[in-house]
Amino acid sequence: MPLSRALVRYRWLYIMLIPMLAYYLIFKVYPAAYLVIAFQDYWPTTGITGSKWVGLANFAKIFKGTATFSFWQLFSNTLILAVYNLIFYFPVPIILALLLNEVKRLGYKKAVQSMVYLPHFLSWSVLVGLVYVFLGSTGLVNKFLTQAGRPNIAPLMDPQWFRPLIVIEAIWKEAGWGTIIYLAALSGVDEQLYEAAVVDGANRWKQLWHITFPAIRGTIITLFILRMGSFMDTGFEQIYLMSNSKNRTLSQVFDTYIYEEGIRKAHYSFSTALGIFKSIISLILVISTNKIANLVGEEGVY
Amino acid sequence: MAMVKNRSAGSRIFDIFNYILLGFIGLVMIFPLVFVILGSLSVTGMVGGFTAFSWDAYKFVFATKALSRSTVNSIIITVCGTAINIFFTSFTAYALSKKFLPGRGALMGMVIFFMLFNPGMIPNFLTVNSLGLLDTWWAVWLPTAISAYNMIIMKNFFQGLPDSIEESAEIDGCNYLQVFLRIVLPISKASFATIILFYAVSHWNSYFTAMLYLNDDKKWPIQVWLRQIIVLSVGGWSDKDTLSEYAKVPQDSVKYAVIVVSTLPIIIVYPFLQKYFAKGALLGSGKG
Repeated sequence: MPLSRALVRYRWLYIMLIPMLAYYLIFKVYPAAYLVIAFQDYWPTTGITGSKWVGLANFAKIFKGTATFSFWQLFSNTLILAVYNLIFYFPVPIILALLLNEVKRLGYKKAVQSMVYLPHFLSWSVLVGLVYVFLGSTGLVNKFLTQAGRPNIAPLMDPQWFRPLIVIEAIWKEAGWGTIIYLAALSGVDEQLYEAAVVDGANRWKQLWHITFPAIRGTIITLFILRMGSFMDTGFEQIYLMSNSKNRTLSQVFDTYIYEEGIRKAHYSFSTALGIFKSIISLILVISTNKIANLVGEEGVY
Repeated sequence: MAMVKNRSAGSRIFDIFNYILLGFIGLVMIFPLVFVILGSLSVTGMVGGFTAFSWDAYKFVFATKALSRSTVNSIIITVCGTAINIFFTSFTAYALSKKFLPGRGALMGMVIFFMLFNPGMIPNFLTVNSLGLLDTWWAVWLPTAISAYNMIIMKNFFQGLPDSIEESAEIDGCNYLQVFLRIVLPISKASFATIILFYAVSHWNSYFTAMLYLNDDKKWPIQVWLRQIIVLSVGGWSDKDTLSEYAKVPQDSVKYAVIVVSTLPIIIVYPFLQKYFAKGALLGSGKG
């Protein structure tokens, strides 16, 4: 059908798409045009057309660092938090799902699920608020310690505690919810496999290793690759809420620094360049993880 | 369930241990919230346990201008924001659910492209700024008007509806918009309810967009005030007359009440959330 006829015949469908087109043009395409300011010395009053082009100077500045930041500090902070999350958070939903899968009393399983899913729906500001209520300088733990005549603690102001707290909070908020996808994969396992295994004399550990675990291996790899894609933006809101002047040396990551430079200090060009740089690293990470997954004989995401 | 029979002693010990461990994990995860709910209703703020019941912390919160205003702000932001989301998302999803529509492939390509590629915080901020939306709630509503993820869930749902309804309606002289509003919408209530919940929760919980785009503290949602009061311990938000009226209310109870108010809508809809979000989480997982 020629386009002109389609436009007439399906005019109402096209009219229904006008809001969406406007939305994508204004809030996706138009912002993307702002990426060119990474190659400029941009200032809003002069605009993109009036600002001076500076080539790759902003990108060079990323590696050179500024008075308030060094590239390696930013890079290692981001990387270490991501690695911590990968090592300490990633396995927790898998283990939790395997444990839940062994529960045969449905009522009990549902009750536990209701409890562990709940934190997923709390906002980060509520969750960090709860952490402050318990661990803050005038928090409950300190009130208790004072009553017991012991010295107070200040983990929220201690840089050493920053990374462990971030991981613990992530586990608290998302580990329960993270089990859903594994539990769904596990529910697809044929019960007859277990029955046959019992006949063959396999104990529960062997059943877990030879039947249950292979059933979720593909899911684990898919989720691992997806996680690599968001490797560089590990929970910006959480980190921002948890960061303070005392732990700044460890809590400054790409996103928080982009916010501080771009929004607070209005260094638009430099922070945009930093954003682009971050996206490129993320992209490389996804592609290479997917490649590795393909090499070892798994399907990958694409 | 052959495996339940002939269990060895080791297997039984594992089961007991597993049940206890999971129960413990569950309780630990909800303990802070439960404690705070009890604390907000306790005269002493749970110092020395729950001694007597009192609504005073909540009376104090709602008598304080900054807090009552921001609670109302949160409600307005959530209700209007969700309405905008539903308008944009359902129209798009319905039109894109028609596989015969020329140009559909290109539009879907665009949606997927921008799902993977986000221009970033600064370009988005400069856009909102150049449109003159800074310090208005439009800045919170419009940039997130369509979540591609939710739109695709809805589109898949519409694709599952039988074509026959629309064919007969077309013969009766209905155009696609009329078909959508009069026929498709009434039979898609469950799908709409799911997407409304998805959007409403994200609006209610959203903190960073408000902080990024709203400088005027009179426009802040409760989530931003929560951080000011509990995390930053910023003072000066309470009114003098309310403060003297409720002088006996412990500061801790007030903090707890602020947390509970910022969580209450979530707790109320939690039974529905669990049901619908689990489905959504699986739909979005692709291969899972």
